[in-house]
Amino acid sequence: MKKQIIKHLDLDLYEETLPNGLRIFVIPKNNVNNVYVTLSTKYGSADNEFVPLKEKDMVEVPKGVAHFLEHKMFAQKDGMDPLSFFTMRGASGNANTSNFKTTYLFSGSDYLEENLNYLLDYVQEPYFTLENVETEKGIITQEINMYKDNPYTEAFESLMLNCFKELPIRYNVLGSVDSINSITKEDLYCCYKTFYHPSNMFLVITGNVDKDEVINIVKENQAKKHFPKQEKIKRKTYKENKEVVKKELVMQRNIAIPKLLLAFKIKFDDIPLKNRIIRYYLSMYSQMKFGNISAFLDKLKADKIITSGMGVSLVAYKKDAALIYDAETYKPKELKTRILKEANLEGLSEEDFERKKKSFLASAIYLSDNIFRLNDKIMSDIIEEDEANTDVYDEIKNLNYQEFLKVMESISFDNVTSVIIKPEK
Amino acid sequence: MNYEKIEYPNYNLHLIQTKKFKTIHLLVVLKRKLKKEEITIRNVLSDILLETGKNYKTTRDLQIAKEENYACSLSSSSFKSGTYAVLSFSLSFLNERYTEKGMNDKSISLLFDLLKNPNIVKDEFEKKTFNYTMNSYKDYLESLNENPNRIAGVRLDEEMGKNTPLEYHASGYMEDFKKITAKNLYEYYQDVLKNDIIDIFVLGDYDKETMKEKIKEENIREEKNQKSESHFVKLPISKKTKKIVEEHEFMQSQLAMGYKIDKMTDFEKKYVFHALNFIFGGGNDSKLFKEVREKNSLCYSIHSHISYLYQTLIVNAGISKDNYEKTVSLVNQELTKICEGKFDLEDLNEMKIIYVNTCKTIYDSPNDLIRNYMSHEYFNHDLVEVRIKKILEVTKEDVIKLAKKLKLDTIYFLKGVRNEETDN
Repeated sequence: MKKQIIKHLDLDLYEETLPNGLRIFVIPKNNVNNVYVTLSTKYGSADNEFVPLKEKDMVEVPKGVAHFLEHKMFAQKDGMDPLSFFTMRGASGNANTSNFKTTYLFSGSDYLEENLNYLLDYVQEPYFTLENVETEKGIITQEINMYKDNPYTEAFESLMLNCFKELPIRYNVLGSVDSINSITKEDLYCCYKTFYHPSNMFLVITGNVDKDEVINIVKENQAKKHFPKQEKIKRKTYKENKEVVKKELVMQRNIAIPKLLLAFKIKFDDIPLKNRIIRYYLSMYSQMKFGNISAFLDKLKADKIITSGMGVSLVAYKKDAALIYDAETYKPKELKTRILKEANLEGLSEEDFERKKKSFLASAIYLSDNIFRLNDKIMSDIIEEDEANTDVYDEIKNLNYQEFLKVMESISFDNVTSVIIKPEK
Repeated sequence: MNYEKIEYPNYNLHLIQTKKFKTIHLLVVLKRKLKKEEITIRNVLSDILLETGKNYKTTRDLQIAKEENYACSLSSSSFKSGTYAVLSFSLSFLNERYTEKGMNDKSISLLFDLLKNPNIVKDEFEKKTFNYTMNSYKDYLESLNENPNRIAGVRLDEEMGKNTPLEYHASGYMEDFKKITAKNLYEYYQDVLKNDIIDIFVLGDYDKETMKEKIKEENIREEKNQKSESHFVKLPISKKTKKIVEEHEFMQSQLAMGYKIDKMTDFEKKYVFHALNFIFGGGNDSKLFKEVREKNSLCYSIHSHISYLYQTLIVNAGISKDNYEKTVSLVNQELTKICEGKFDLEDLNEMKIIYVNTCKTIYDSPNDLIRNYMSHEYFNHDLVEVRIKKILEVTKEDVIKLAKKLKLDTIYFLKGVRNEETDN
């Protein structure tokens, strides 16, 4: 068992890799009552083209399989619904699928041993039948329609499609009604066998636990099961252009105030820093130039261009990213022009930068107090860098203004795509 | 954990001391009897007071001040709480043990500064902040009809709560909005500071005497605090079930079914009602979820929730428009089963386990802990320690007895008439 200290945050991280490849991360936090356990596979909606286990050729599966599979894991041979299992033991279970991972989870302080064993058992024992696959299609169709009623979600989907040409993050996690209806039982088993092998999975436990006890429970559980040897999974690699697919889209929906969504398509192949650090700098840049603290936003408000704040977010896939801004505005074109004009290095100051750092540091401390966010952080570290980052505090402390400017100088803001939603009539 | 309530003449102070968190949390609550025509102006107040201040002239200035206080967070809300209208302002910040000495006082002062020194120019709210806040709020009011779920909820409340606070829109009214000026908003705020009942909650690891002294120093007001009355609302009970169908440009249709209960004992209200709701439609694998979603695949979501203050139970489902009749009859059928005692004792036990576990996790969340003491103070709800014991006393007979008292008051159906994507 490897022990690491999460510096400055009063926490320790224990890591163990089992013979079958499953990795376990434990952060004990004994001043809370609750325990949060997540079991994840490094498999999400973006893993659509790959070489299946024990085969040679690359296959492409219908979009939305990862999410469909997540839903179907809840069908068990004995008819027991895993959520009910947890509920009956005072815990609450759930699962979710993103572009890069699928996570099964529960939280609850009682019956830990039973719940933990059950989590491992139900995720490691699929039961897909022709019948239960068909029923699921009805449920997911409803789910897709529900999201379609939200004009913002719909616009965001278009924005991603117009931004990226090749990267699988251009598609939404759910898939479309057509794609999910073409999913077969065989697709599910193929993806399951390839991606749900323990060597592609990891378990993160945060909260009021004894590290030895929980690791032993997992060890004993896994020792009873047999998995075929797994080579490293071959996933399709993608090469993405600099240019966006489509520069502009205007749609009309049943909304009151027009909305603008705008994405700068960014590549950072040539920057010799960890992706995580580059992302810190990018979000600092976004917040300083366009966030609550920016003079830009004050001016937009004063000129009545926007009525509430502006959303700032970042979607990234390895060395490609989209820096996204969204706002409600009565003058979407004017807002777009202003954002494009503002995307430069003018007006940045070291003083603002240092203050931003202070608030990034604070959020690292806040995070360490919350077993859910702490667990989420470890999961995203594993997905992005394949290791847990125990240096988060010093890493932020060491961000510096000169490096920040250098990174930002090397980034081009020339590739832009936008979606405008206008009210109907 | 250590709790103490101190009743000063001008406000109540609730000190909750715990060493569990790296943060300190402050909640200032101002409340008065709910009047329909005051909802909108209170909502605007809740927005404007944390936007700028006399000492923070722009949003940017205030944002900078927050970041300098190690990204302390400020938030406000204005909501209905039964017969009362509540304005609350909350602050959370890192305990100075993790930052710098003196930061506790600085952060607390920031919140009080904003409350005591709003951005006033010549007896009215400064124009820029005022206009901006008003525009945002107007947009919010106008965009409310984008959410089908909300529309169904609001319409159901209107139908069920005629002539009671239940029918009032917590989001406010356009006609009241139009009457608000920078001047009357300030006058109203002065009245709020003078006449609302004020409670201040402080949670975290701090020295009690120092904290008392600090809050006293901030001197939120001179005026006397009034006595709080009951928050509970008595709804009229009608004999017949109302059925309402309205159409809207959505793909999905929303079904809302509202039940009322005429008389409940204190124990029923606090505990049996929870158990009933859990078994019926509140839990992850409730009767409704199993029957309507899993077995009949009729909807993506279905659940029920109860209101302690109004004594109502509401079932919400997102369905396709053709499934209206079928869903309603299944919901009725499941309730009948409960009335006939056709549910497992296991379901009840499961509910108790979950209830107890949820109670325990309250101890892990500063906001939930504050809410625990707040609902004790305002609604006479039992504290967590008591709840954990009392819930175990609920029997199957209690649930059946209460289920029989449920009266289906209104069925509201928001029919989506935008074309759906279909399976084929």
